[in-house]
Amino acid sequence: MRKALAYFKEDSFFHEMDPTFKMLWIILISISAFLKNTEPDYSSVINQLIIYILVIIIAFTLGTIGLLRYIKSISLFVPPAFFILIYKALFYPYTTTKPFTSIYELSFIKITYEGLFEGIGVALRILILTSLSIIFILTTEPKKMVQSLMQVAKVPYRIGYTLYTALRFIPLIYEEYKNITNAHLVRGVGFSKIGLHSKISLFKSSIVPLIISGIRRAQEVSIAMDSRGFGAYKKRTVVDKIKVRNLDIVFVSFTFFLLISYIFFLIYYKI
Amino acid sequence: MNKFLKISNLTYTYQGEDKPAISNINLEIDEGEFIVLMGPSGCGKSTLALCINGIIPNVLGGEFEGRIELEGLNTQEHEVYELSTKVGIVFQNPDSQLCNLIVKDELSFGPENLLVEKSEILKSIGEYLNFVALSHKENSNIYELSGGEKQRIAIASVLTMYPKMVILDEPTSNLDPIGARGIIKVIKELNKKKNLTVLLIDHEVSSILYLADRLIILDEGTIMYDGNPRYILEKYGDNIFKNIGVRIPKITQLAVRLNKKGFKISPFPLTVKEAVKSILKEKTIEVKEKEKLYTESRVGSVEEKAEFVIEKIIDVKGLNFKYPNGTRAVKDVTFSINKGDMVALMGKNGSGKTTLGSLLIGLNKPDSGKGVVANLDINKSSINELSKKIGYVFQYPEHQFITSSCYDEIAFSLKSEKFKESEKKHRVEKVLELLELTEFTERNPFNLSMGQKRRLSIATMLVKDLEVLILDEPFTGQDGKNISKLMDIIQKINNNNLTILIITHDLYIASKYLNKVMLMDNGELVFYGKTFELYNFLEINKLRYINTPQIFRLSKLLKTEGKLDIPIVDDVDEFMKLFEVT
Repeated sequence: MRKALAYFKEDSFFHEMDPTFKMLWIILISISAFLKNTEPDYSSVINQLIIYILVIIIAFTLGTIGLLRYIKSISLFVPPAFFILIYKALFYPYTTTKPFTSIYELSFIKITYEGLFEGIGVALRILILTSLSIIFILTTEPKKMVQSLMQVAKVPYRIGYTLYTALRFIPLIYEEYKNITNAHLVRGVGFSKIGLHSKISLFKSSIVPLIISGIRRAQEVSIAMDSRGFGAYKKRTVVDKIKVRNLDIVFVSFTFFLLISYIFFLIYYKI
Repeated sequence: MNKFLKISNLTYTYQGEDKPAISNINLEIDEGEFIVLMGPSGCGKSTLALCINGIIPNVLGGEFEGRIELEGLNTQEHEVYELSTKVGIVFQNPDSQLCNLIVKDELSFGPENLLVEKSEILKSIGEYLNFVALSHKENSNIYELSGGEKQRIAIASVLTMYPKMVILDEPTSNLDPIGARGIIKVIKELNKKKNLTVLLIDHEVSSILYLADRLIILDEGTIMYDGNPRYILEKYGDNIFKNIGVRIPKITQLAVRLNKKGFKISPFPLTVKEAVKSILKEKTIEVKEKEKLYTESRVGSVEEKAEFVIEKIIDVKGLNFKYPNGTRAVKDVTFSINKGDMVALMGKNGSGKTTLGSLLIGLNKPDSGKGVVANLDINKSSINELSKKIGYVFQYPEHQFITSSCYDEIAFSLKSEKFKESEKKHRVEKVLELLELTEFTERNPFNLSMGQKRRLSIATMLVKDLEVLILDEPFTGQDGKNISKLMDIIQKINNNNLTILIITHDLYIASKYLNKVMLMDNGELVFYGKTFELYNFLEINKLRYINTPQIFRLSKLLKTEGKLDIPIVDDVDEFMKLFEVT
């Protein structure tokens, strides 16, 4: 079984793309999803829908993210998006002073056109942003991302290495968390049936051991890193040089150009 | 001649502590020396190591008196990175000293920090990956490696900085015997082939001590003994083992006791082969009347103790378990354990021992197969029901701690029991006393020492009316004193008819204290029987992931090569009973 939200090896356009430029591109697309944010009506929903479809097409073609992989990852975010849709649809009148057209009313519940459209709009926006993140996570090797941040985006190497160690420790901490909750289950924390309540009390009781071992681990790592001369000079030798392809630069510039024209289009037609 | 390392009058106290961790250390080390440093837990071994590479006091602060010179550089006046090309240090836990994602990046990390030329770095990566026999893993993810491989990477990543001295602080404590053997091999070559000065700190050194030039014994922050290992152990071995509580190799324990009895075992042996020679040379040794001795001295399994009615307390058939990621951790395991037995569960890391344990306590449910533990069906009973009858002590005691005092910690286990308050109090106090924790009643569990934490974690289980106690690697990183204390307690509680299952790598403990051994390999139960049968099983199948005890090998060699007519034994006490002075 493949894990959701995990990098997979492939040699698509996005896999080869420099992570810093990939991030820039994602920011540009995200901006476009927020531009048309005036009155909630069907045109804004169509606007979001077009962007969403474009993003998915790009994910499938340039990122070679298959349908199955995409569904597995996006399914994590569908429930919150759906929740917001319902919430907006039901409670829109209470969050605005603007006039509204209701479709259905039952005591305090009022379903409105505006609420429905705004709900769909926000839900789509969530899906766009998460889809973009999915593209990034699934096609970016963690190591390459940190290297690119340090070499292309010129992030100081100390911060880069903080990211490295975080990435390295996530699986370890997760494993440790499992061990601790197992140990606490045996000791009678939580209930025999693993319900929400049991999960919460397990989480609460495991925090202290987790933090204590986390602090110890951090100390050990920093001593080990110091012992190997970390932080000796302002610079470090770079053994793996990152090469930014011209294609990446062209691709991001082109997107930027599209975005600018889109903005002018919106302003010109006063949409 | 100038010494490579010169420590004079070193006393160091950690920030916020009153008592110095090490005091008045004087030590000189020549280039190319191979030194083994031993001492009980908390004696200041690691502190000394951090002093040598300048982390103390440059990074950790604290109160530092005295002077350390490393190739003429005063460590107090130079930055840690300047010292890092003179001395490299490898720590106990491979997971908290590797900070990169990919193997080759870990090796280039050190020299990159020191602005070494790229071409030079690439050369050294190749050289040292080859040196630790991991060239084929150059582009692997570090988290995919085994513990032993990670530790070899840790050594290699220190070597790429071309230090003249390497300090290894308990490098094998977290590893299984196979992993440890790989590390020992590398350490040997460090000294012999690369001519590096090596300072090895460890609890278990039987397979390498014979190569050491010097043995240093540290206790309570001061150097007790320092000199040739043969000489030190011959003269002071008894004190080092009994009073200081350091686990010296079995073969040397035996030689010390034989000498004490009036024999002359000379030259003093450090390996089994040397011991065979020295013992055969000693003509006054005579074998006692043999046959009876061995059977008398062994603890019988429950089957042999006629006064008990045999009752199967654990009985499982055809257990299978697969993790979600597809690993088949337990394959068709069938066995039964009698009430009151003490059984060892052995096997290399990843062989399925812990998973089998988790099935018995109900943390995982088997995919197929059935089992009954303490009259409870493991398929149907919940963890809550099972854990009332079955205690499970996890590998890291800290993972189990929930409250902020030892008393509460133990009382927590009785939370759901329907005893009266006075009865609960009585039980907690009894268990505190049994595990020698009474003086720490109010202490925070996290502030206890290694040995005390381990005992507390057992206490939290024993306070209940258990029928089975499972201990997952309870001896990892514990010194000799702690281990024998722990085993005394475990034997004591076993007499109350508690069935005990210990997951361990230590065959010596299994053979000395336990009735039976189970051996797992790749998810299957490949052996279940007495320890002696296991030795033969290991030899016949050429399995090397468990080391047979030194005394076993010794008595076997004495019999086959020395033509001595003795039964084969595996423990110092038993061996001593075989001989008498004529």
